[in-house]
Amino acid sequence: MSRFTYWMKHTFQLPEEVIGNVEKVEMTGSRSLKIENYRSLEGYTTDQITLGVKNGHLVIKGKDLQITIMRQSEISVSGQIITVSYE
Amino acid sequence: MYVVVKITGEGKERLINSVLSEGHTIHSFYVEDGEWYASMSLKTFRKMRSKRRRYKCRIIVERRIRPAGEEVTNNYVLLSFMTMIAVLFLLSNTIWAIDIKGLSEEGEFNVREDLKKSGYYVGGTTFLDTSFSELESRLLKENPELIWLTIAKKGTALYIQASEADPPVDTRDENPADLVAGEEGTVVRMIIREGRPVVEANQFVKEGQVLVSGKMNEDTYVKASGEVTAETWYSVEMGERQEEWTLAENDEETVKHFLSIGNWRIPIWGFFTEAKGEWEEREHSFRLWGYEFPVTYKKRTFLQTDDNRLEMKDKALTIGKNHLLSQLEKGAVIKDEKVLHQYTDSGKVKLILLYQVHENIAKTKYINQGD
Repeated sequence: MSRFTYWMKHTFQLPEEVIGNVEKVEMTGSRSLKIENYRSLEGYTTDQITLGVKNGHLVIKGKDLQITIMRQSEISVSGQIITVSYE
Repeated sequence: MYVVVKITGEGKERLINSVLSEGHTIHSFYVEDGEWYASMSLKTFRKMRSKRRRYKCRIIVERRIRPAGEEVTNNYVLLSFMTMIAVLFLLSNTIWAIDIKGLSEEGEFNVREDLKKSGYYVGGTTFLDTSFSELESRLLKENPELIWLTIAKKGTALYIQASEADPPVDTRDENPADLVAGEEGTVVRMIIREGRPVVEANQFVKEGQVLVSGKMNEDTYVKASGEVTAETWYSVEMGERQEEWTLAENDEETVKHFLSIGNWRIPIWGFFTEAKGEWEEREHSFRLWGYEFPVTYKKRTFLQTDDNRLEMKDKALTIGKNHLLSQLEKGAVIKDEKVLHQYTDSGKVKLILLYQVHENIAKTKYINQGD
């Protein structure tokens, strides 16, 4: 994070995903996952979804994964989620 | 309309990213047997198809589905809301019941048929009618056996109360009776079936005067019957009914239509027709759930005045004649008619018309024998 954005964040108390353009992962139980500010879709199978994020890749592993809705900056995943990890 | 497509090819991830980066949305994206299936709007589908070569992909349409759930757009919501309002408006202006009270089965049937002719039946709609006085008078005219009739609209039901004249009394009764004059006039001729004549032809009789006596001699009484035709005079004043008779057969009347909100009046028909002179305005309000719409409809009829006053006089005589005949008994004949007096009162022409009528003036009056 640059010094400017760091200053912005602390001065205006802005959420990090807004100011730093980093991803925000929101999980509801183990069957629903919502990710904001992702960059790209890099791979999709029933067991694994790979997303490109600001500083690397976010890998969601699970079973019967489905993407319920997908927009430019928002993706909602349902299914049995086992791990969410950075690679 | 949505389509479900199968996406295959080496650059399918990049194809998806590229389409999404242009603001498109993909719904229910799933993998089945290693293949990608996604549903999207037709617009998104077209965009994706135009990019498929660049990313070396194939897109196969699997099926088309109708939008459901969150895919319903604002347009649908607005449309369904407006449809609902329209349907409500229509339903609340529909007649759901016509309740007729005070009439015999036959009378009720006749009134129902006449109402149907005028467009009032169960399932029919009424938009503009808030006053029923015209309909009432028409029904009374068409059903002479009715004495009175009132129509009220409550919600979506029409309530009609009416009363029929009693069936004619038994004419075979043999109670002794005289025939007396029901009107003042000069006797023209007499046809007597029973009884002893008291007056002669060309004699002037007053109302209530005995014409044919039922007393034959000291002890014998009969029920006098017969017809006594007399010449009577009626004067009819036309003036209050001027609109009625000027408009009755006048094709050249000019009509303008307005929608009115508060004091604003918006013309909706008849912009360019030239209209002058006196006018008559009718206002109709729209109702929903018993509340009035702030918008009302106004119909302004311009009456023709100066141009055809002579014509009007003829018309007045005809209308007065019909009006009089409708009030007289059957068999009455109008022998002569003339305009007795004509004057103008606050811009309206008033006429007093005089009619010479030959009619049966005999009325049965029972003799009280005082036993």
